[in-house]
Amino acid sequence: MSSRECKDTRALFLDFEEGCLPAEEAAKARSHVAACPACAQVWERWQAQDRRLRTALGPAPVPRDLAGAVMAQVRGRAAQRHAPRRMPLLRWGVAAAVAAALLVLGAVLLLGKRYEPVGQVAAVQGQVLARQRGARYRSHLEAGAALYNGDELVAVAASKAALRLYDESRLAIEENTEVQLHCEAAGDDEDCSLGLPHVCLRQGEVECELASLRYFRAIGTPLGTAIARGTKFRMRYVDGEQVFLEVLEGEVLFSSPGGQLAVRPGAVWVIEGAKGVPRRLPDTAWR
Amino acid sequence: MAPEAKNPSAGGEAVGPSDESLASRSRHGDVAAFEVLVRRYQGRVYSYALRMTGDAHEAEDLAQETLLRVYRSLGRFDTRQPFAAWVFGIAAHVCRDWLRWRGRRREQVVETVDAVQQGASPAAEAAAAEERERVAKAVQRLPRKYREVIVLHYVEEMGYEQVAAALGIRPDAARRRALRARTMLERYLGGNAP
Repeated sequence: MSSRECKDTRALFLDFEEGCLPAEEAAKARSHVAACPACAQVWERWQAQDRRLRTALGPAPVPRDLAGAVMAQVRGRAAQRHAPRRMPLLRWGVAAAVAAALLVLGAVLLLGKRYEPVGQVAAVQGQVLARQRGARYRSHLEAGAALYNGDELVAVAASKAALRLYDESRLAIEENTEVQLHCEAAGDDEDCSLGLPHVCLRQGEVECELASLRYFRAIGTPLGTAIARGTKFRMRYVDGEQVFLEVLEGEVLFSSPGGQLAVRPGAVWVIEGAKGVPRRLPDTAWR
Repeated sequence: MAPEAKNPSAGGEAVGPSDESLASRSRHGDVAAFEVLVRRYQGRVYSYALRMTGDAHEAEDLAQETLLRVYRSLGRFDTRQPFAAWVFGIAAHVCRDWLRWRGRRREQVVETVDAVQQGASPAAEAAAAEERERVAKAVQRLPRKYREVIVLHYVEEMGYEQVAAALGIRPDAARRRALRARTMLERYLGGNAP
């Protein structure tokens, strides 16, 4: 047998296995394998590997409540929507024209920047400032104000804010804290490259109670990241020096470039410095 | 022995309304129809994410994110196309984003959790679990684009046409990737099947 013929035949094994080889080519391959011990051996190995993969890669047991968790969020979103109203054709036309005009105007004014509402401010104490993505100035934040993807929030001394997102997740921003809400992966952002939705904690302390992973999956700092797994946790970042994590419920993946571990309630963990790894503090006092 | 062709089934037969009709109803606000789809797909999407990431916790999150993204994107689903391919296209995107992010973070996989078969003796169960873990780890070693093809083919039991549709590539590209992946797996696993 020529090595060329063997090579050509072996290249057909995948199609043969799937049953999509034309009859003529299949017959040719079959006769080659029958006459060539080397290819017969390769075919045997090929089939054995196929069986092995089929046996080993079967479906995994589904986590409990996966569908329930998804449907809770779906129902929450569905409930937020206004019931569809039937409108006469003319009103539809007018509405569509107005919507199109607003869309164009908005696109021009916002220069392509996206403002996606994600929740609202539940309560404010003291002076909390907010700056929308792309805006030059910060403005005072008041209870009831809408929150948008990309918002930067700053709580000065003796101030704090409670945020409620549309999925009922809650975020408490403590005094002397600065955060930015990245409700989608911020891979191309200049300041932040975390590739998943998160709160960017630039300074201070936040407490996060996630009802779902719709808006945030993590809190990120330059030193380390806490990746939520449907839980409640608190994180504090001391500029360039330390980041602390205390899990209140559930489990959080505490991650730094040096390593990561799954953290549960009962202790305070810290990452120190840019190359630090998560370590447990001897006591639960972090302040 | 001369090769005998076979034709893997494309997943189990759906009982009740088709995925596409349920998707159409879901798109018009029928939440109950979407729940049927979620229950139908949760295991498949989770298994896909698990084999792509090797991390059970992440797989659960990614499965959840995939199914929510499916819900949010229903308006863009073309009901003339197979729903499964569309869902796994979304799952592939979600997992790719995560893998890219993890690649940047250079994190280690925390744990690999695998299925435990029921009804076998403890020794056989242990051996089977070990074998599954060995194969899962070998699949984990594959570069992402090859792993996607293998996982969709073996875990989701998709033919390569469907795999190609889900990944948005040409069928011959899917086959080339599968061929390459199988060659790599042979190297990783050796020929010692139990």
